[in-house]
Amino acid sequence: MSAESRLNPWVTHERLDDEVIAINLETGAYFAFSGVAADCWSLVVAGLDRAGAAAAIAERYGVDVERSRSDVSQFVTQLEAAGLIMGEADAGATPESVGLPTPNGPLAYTAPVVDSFEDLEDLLLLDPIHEVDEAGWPVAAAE
Amino acid sequence: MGAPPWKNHAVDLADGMSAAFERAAGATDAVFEREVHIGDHAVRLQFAAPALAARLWPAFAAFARSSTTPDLTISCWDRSATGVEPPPAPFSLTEFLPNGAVRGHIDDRVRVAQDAVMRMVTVYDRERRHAWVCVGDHSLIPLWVDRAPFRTILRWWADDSELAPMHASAVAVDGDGVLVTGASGSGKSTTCLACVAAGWSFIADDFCMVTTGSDPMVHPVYGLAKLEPDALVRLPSLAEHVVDPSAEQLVLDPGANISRGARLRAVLIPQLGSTTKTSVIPISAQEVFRELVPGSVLEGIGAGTQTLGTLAALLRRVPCARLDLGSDLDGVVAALRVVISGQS
Repeated sequence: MSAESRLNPWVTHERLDDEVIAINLETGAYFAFSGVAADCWSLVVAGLDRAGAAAAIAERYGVDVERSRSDVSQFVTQLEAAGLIMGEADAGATPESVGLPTPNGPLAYTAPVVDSFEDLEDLLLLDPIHEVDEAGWPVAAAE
Repeated sequence: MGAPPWKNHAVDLADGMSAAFERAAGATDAVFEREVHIGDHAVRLQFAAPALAARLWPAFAAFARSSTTPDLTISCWDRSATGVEPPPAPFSLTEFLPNGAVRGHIDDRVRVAQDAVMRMVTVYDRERRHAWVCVGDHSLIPLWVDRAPFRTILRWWADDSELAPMHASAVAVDGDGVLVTGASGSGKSTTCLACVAAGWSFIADDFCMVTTGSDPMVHPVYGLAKLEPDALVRLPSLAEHVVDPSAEQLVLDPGANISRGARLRAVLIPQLGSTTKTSVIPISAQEVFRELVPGSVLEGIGAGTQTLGTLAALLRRVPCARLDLGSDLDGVVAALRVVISGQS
């Protein structure tokens, strides 16, 4: 299984320090994750399951694993609902293989959240005002 | 992910567009053909309609160079003028997305986009590095397209190269350039025009390419800039570069002041200040990352797989700053000069 086995193939993403931008190139929806959410994203797309990601987050941020497990689980559910990740986790993935950036100092913990900058539903289907020309291509409807 | 049934017909669509262009070329007196350079690459432009060439070629004219082996060919015709239709669409209406993309085409050999208002069909064959554009009627093309034609194709093509398209303006002095990005109305154009009026080289108004090789570079694509009427009040010396002073939308042709590329020294986000003085405030790469992504990647109609990575690589290496613009335009130019010198 590849290192990004859970990533929707239409999604491209990049991490810059503690910020991740993920874009669904098919729909134009884009998402930003920072801090805990960025770390969580990196762990999950690398294939870690909810428990594995939660344990890694708990250790990195020095928080109770039960709290981390609840927050990470909700975050992963949001990622799945947004269509960013799919499929099963990779049993062979480890936090060490992800290589999270080394922090400059103590890390502050906040529950990870998904920041979305587009409404997927609005982008998925053709605007119904269009008509079709002789060759079958959509054209703007006459006023 | 299951492939849509039309995917098997995408190469047929490209073949159909190629054949239609040949018919359109036969229906016109002459095909207007020129080559330009973008970065280290040659791009051949073919127009099977004089009126289309008259509108869309001037944006590229500053970068005309002869080449026998183009890396990209764009063949364009006008359906109204030639009577030649594009081949039938091999997909259903529900496959078209509002941004012009066709659902499911992104990673494939043939990419398709369609503008329902302009009635413009664009088909790009990545393997042949050849794009075909059928325009319903050149009179349906909005004026802004004249300054920046074929952006979708250039983004698709760049996605398979080391070039990364950026929604940003750029100017340079002595071979050192700055990328100026930000929302509309933030002072991007004013910043760059003030520099051009001061004798700097023009690189780009809103769209350019960057590379992140041994030395990050910014490359021009189009040689024209939009000019708001009030810009001439503040920068009267630019009047001599206006293409047509009576035009509905003023366009600046910097002529000899055009740069063919520059080393990239900084990425700047301007904002309108409240004093006469211009200040340069260093900001994080992440802040610029968020600012550049919507225009540089999301406008790409399915392109952007490489752009995001190039953008991050660029921002790791080039300083970023917010430019708090003062009303004294000489001060704006002086501030950029300090940024380029690396002393800010």
